[in-house]
Amino acid sequence: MFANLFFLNIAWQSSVTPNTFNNYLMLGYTVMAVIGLVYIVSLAVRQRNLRQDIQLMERLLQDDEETAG
Amino acid sequence: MSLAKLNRWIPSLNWLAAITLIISLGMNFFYAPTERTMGNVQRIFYFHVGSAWVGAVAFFVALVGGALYLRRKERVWDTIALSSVEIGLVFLTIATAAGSVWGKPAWNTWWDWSPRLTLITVAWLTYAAYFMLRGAIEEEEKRARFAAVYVIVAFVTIIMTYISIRIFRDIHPVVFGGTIETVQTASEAEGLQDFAPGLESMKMGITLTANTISFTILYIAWLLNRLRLQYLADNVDSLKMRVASRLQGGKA
Repeated sequence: MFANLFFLNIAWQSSVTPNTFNNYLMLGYTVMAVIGLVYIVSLAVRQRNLRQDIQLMERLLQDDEETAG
Repeated sequence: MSLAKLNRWIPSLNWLAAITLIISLGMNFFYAPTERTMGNVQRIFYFHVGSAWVGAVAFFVALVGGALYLRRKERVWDTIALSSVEIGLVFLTIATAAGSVWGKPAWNTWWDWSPRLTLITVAWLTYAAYFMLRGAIEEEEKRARFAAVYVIVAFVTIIMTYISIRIFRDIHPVVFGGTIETVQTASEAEGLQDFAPGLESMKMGITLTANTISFTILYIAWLLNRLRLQYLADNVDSLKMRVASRLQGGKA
């Protein structure tokens, strides 16, 4: 909640003064970190889904072999 | 590179990327000197340039992947190009977002349609369209061939983005390749970086180099992760085909 207000305050402020420069520094690093983390999470989620798919397919094939056998 | 080799390399590279990034972050905040005019907000510059550099490298790797695919017709090069474009787009987004946040205190605006910023938007959209192109073609060989040609041509946007601030009047500072006079004038006029010779400037250079190296390692780590993802996707496709043929055989 506080963080949201902090960033909204930066986004909406009309004038930039040297006193607010550190806020932009924090905002910049936060934005970069969020984009990077979103990509890492997307890689992890896609990998987890594919591994689940592989397990499911292998189970289906195994079941089919057992039924045939 | 086989899946077993990828599985062996990826954890070490992930850790190496994380450690080098933390070191770079520490250097950005505690080693690099505070810039004379802009103060601490200039520290965004190190990650901004690092990610922009790696974005360009990623698109160049994609170009090489596309060219090698056209020459050898081996699917691995298409996969490398695809993975590299995806990661390049992430780095380009990071660089653009960081630049925008820096632009507000530096230029008093989040965005300006200057040649550099316009061309970076063109580059971003061009590479985003690469995925639309791939999604629109079903036949695998044709998709890879078209994508390879596209990714080679698309690199023109990166070259144009790089040289734009050198051939057009632009609000964006020239960091590399500008003359001493233009860099000094730009820094004096806009308070961008302290490029005066001496230890302070050298520390900035060392920090920038460290960031560039750590982002390059991060790119390699992400590329291998993305290649492994493609291996798994291929594995799923082949298993699906086996299951489908079994089911069809069962029904028949």
